[in-house]
Amino acid sequence: MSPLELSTAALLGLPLVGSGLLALLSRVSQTGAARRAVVTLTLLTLVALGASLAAALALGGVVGQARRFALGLGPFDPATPAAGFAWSVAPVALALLFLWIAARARSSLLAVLSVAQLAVAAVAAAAELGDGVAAEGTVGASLVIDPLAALLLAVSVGVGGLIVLYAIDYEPLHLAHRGLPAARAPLFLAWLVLFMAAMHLLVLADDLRLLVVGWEVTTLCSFALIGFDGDGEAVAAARRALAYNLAGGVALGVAPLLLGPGATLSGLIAQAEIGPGGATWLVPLALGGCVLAAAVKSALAPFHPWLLGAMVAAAPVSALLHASAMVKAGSYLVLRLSPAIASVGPLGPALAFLGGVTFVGAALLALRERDLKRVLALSTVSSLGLIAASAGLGTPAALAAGALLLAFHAVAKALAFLVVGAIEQSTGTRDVEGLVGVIRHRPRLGGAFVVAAAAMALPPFGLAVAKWALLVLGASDVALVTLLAVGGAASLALWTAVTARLIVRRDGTATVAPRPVPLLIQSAVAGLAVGAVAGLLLAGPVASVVADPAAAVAFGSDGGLARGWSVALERAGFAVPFVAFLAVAAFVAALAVARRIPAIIPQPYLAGVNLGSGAAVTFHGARADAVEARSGGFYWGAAEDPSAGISSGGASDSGTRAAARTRALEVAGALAVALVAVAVVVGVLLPGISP
Amino acid sequence: MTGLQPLALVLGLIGAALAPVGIGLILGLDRRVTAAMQLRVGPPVLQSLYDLTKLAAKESRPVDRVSAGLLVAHTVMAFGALAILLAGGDLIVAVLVLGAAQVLFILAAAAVESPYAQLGASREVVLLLAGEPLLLLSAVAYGSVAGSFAAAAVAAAPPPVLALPSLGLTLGVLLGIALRKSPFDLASSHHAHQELVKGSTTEMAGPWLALAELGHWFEAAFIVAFIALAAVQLPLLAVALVAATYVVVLIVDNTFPRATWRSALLIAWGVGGGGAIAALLSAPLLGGLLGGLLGGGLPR
Repeated sequence: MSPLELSTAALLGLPLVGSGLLALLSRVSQTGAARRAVVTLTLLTLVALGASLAAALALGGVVGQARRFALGLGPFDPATPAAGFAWSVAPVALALLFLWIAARARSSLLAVLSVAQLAVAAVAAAAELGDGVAAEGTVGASLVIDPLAALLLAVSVGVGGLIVLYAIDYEPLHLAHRGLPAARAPLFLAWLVLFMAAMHLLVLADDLRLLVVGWEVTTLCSFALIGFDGDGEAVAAARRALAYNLAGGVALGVAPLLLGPGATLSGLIAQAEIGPGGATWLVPLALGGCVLAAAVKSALAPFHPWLLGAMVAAAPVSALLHASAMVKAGSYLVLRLSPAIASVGPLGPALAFLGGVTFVGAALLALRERDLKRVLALSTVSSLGLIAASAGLGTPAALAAGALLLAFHAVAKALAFLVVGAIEQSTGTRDVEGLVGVIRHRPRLGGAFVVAAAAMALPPFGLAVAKWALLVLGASDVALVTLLAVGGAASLALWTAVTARLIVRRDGTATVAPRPVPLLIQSAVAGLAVGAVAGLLLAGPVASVVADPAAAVAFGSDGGLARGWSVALERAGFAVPFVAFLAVAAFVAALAVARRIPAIIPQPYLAGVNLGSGAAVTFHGARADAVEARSGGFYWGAAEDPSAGISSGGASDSGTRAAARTRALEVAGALAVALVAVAVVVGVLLPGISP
Repeated sequence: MTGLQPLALVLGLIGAALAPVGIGLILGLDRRVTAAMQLRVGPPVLQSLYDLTKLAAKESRPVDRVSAGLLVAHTVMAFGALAILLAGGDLIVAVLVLGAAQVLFILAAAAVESPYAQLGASREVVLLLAGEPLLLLSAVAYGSVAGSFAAAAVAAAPPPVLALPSLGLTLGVLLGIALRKSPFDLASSHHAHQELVKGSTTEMAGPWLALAELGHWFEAAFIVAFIALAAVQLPLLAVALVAATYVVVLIVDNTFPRATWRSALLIAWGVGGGGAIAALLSAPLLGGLLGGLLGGGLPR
């Protein structure tokens, strides 16, 4: 094996070994020494992963250059007979495992889905074995590393690594809070690290067998981690996630089944690009299966409920699912297949529509939420819709914009989830109305939340620059650009409304003395916060280092987004440095002014009938009694709940209207998925049609 | 093009710095016209400028350092958004920066305890939700006519107003929102008869209120410049366009009562959004027709 192959193999092998050792350590009683061993082992795994990523990127030279390397897996290469047999049989084994889980859960739905998966996997394996165990494909071409894969690996190792770092200190506290044995902490870390290994496998995979195995292992890991606490709510959410992802797995399993043994992603793309002359009817069908599987995994409407349920899990799990792994697997697959999707008739526009509908619908739904984690979850769904839309646009610049979105979203969303987890652990709640003023009481954590919110919504942070690029690129499609404009406004309003509650000056409301935040949690949050702030200036460089080269590899022509520190398109330009200068100037001016203002707390305006001194918000009622003035946030479309204590200012809807809105997103999503299906059928029947 | 050339940027910054004077005059005229509609004489045309300087000269009694800091940041960002637009920079970028300025103002309003300010901030969020998509769609509509999203290119192209007649509805709604005219006056208003004391600006006084006003004037100047962009090659037409939009907004302001936040949002999205979508759909058609009439054809 070449040094490059060794370093990529390390990206797969190291977390596997680390995960196995951690699982073993969970069998040992958690004394001080064992706990230290767990921490040391996890840190070593993370450091070694970082080193092998650096080695892989340096040796491959895929950063900043449009290069693509086909790699082998040495003795485990599926093109060698024995390993090929193992890789073909692995999905069958995983399907059997899922069937066992279904049997234990006594769930007929899960049983049906895992039997379907078993059938697909078994037929595919039989087809490959029936061909004689002769090696299919060329040896040493089962993995591929290119700028897009490098980006995903960097996100997984960088962001995912910080999440695992955070989990080292978070999980013992979480287990103690839930009354669970501390011995489960190493097991939790083991699952997180295994999740990273699975993510690396599916990102590096070119051979479809490897892709399917990585895909199914992420499903398994998410099931284990969502249900990790073992209470009824967690188990139900885990089963729901499993059901959705098993169905998605069946759709993905269709691709290797149709394309036959030894099929690769690059082969599928090449076949699709040959066009009507060379491509068979199988190609649109296989692509449709992949798109559907990706839509489920990245929780696009109407498949988003599994991700909303998954937020019952601990903060590191949510962060991993939402930011660096799992849902990003779906986004990665559609971005990877973007050139193929673009060349199959109306599939691209259908996917763009599905993404656009998800972008708007989830952002509007998020506006009514008071549970901070639900806000974050719906905002993730919304952003993933945007990435899918960029894949559906199917141009080099759109692919580059999608890659930018993916990178900056991972950092900002991981930061947001980790901060909310730390706030919840420290204050005992994640209800926005229960956290009014938290930015004042916990300036560091609160400040990190503000950074995450700004990185998510404001220019010139990378996410906003990518949204701008998609608005420009989608400008000729009236439906899409309308969806993008409304969705963009909704997410801006969302982050504003949430931050507006958390920043209220409120004295004496902290009933429970907040607990101190452990060191590793602080370091992980600080690391991500620094990354998020850097996003203020990094849109151009990230575009030039990974996004544009990724587009160049996929389409053969450069994405063309990067223009020095700025980002530019044919018809427009985003002068990132000027806007960043403006933002920094505004911040510095604000700081300079704020420092000169004394920390006084005058009586708030209560129409001149204040009762009590200082910041008290009680006023003189009509019967000479003391009335407390209450105000609430803006929760558009929230079901009315008088006991929730939202009075003036809390705009709310009746329950039926709230339910109708939930259904509207599901219906719109189902419609969009139906469009994708129609597009596939059209692609099969009328291969000549181009969008 | 990444948009901002140094000379253009300097001119844009100078223009943005002078813009409040223009807006002060327009607001003075506004008060005279409104007074005339109500059979009053009204204050001098310079009254709005007098008011601003009077506020600025008052004793500084800031209520909260976070709120005051956010207010400063709001004004800086609104100034910057206007400068980008006047410098001929990217329209969508200018709109996004303006959105950031509005966000900072909402946070400044929400940062203090008074429930009046909280309520005003919530309603400002509704106005943000109402206005932001309309601004983005209008920018896209301009871009679709000019073939570029740079304000300079839109200004150089044949007047977009001819290809986008229904965009007038959108621009009218946007002006109404920027000036907080009825039915978009739900967050704060100048009028004494408002049921809400002062909404978002409740806890701002003296120079701080002047700063908030200044920031809003930059926002209003942005919208006025944005409307003028529809016909900037024909200055008379541009002035007439701004005046006509303004008069319609004034008439609506004086005829319509304050709406609930829900109906305000519905009106904004229905009238403004409908106008923008109709403009986007009809632009290729009308643009082609116009191109035929002008003989040259529009640059695509």
